[in-house]
Amino acid sequence: MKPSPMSLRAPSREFPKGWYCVADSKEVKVEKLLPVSWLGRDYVVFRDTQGLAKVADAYCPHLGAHLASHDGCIKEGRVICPFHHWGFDTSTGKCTDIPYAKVIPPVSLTFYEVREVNEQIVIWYHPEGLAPDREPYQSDLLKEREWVLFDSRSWTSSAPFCDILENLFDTAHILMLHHAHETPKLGNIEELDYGLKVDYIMDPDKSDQPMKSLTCHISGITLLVQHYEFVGTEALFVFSFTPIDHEYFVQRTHLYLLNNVSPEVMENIGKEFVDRFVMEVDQDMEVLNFKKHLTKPRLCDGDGPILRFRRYSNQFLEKEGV
Amino acid sequence: MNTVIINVEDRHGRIRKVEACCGDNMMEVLRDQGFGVEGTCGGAVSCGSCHIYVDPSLMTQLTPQIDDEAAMLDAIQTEVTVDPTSRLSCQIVVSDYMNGMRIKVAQEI
Ligand code: FES
Ligand SMILES: [Fe+2]
Repeated sequence: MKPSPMSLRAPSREFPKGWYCVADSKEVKVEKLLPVSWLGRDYVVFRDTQGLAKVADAYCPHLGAHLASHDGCIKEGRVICPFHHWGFDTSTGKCTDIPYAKVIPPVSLTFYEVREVNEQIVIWYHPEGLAPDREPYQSDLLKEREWVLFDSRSWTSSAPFCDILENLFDTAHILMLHHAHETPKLGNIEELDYGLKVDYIMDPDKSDQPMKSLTCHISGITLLVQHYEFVGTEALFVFSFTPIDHEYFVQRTHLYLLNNVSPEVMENIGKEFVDRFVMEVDQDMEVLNFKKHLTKPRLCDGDGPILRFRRYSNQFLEKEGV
Repeated sequence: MNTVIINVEDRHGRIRKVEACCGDNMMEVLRDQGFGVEGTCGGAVSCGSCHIYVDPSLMTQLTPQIDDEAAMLDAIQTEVTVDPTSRLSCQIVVSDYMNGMRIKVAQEI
């Protein structure tokens, strides 16, 4: 079965406003242009001489060459376009050099608002081009403690974009689709400056319960950090969801484990965790990739706080397109 | 469409009367009337080839410079004389009050 076009499965809308991951931090090096395509646009990602991440429109404002085509490169703090060798300052984006011209015109690369959080480079997108109205969640734990990046995965999905995070609030599918023994209990759901903080309630009477706590931090509807506390160790799960276009988005997931146990123990914990997680995402995708976004779903009493999530996520969406 | 007469001094000091329609782009008028104004960037404010000096008495009536025009005028100073009456003609729309106005085409960059 092939997924039907999104026009049949979701209201036609602009991409939601928010912070979108365009690259992992470690992919982006000083003096190197990384071409990427997201949100129906092309970008180049690079670092200036101070190491600050920059994201620019991929096309030279002079005559439209893709800056990373042919031998386009970064030299001495300047992006050099392969077409006419115009040079643009990596920090300011300003054109500083045209080998054949007498006058340097006031022309600049188009930079996007960038943040580097949780080892990811994220840019701000707003359908009307407005400035950021919030900052993405930054995990202090990830910065302050010693973690091992245990595993990274990525999925390309044809699910309706707004439905991917809704899945967290759809507690009944965890029993049914994922065959879990019990539903996770969502505790406090709190709206904070970056988005939503969700605590799960663990059953203290269960002695076989290896998980002590789970907290989710959702930035807008595009980024997610999950913090797990187990008996003896902890894990951070860093997720990003970025549309390629209106048909597909990419989910990236990085699992960090606290570096406080032996490599063998870490391997065991990590592998079990990843295997279970990958199996669940694969199961989700087998359904989500084909699903429709129902604006009036018929929810029943055992369903989770799906509409609570929708009331939250609505603020990031344009009204339905005309 | 109203027309106006503008007195244009060319790069050799000769003055010619030019008829232009209100709403026309001044750079295009000069380009099409053979004043040697190239308009390489087509009005995108990046070539400076449309540099003119305007009648000081009319300066305040012209639409103010946008940032790019000011930056471009600043940049061409290394090549040509830029003074307070300097404007990029691609940023000027021919209007009624310009009837009889005198402008001077600046030297080529
Ligand atoms: S036409 Fe190029 S700056 Fe005016
Ligand atoms: Fe799921």
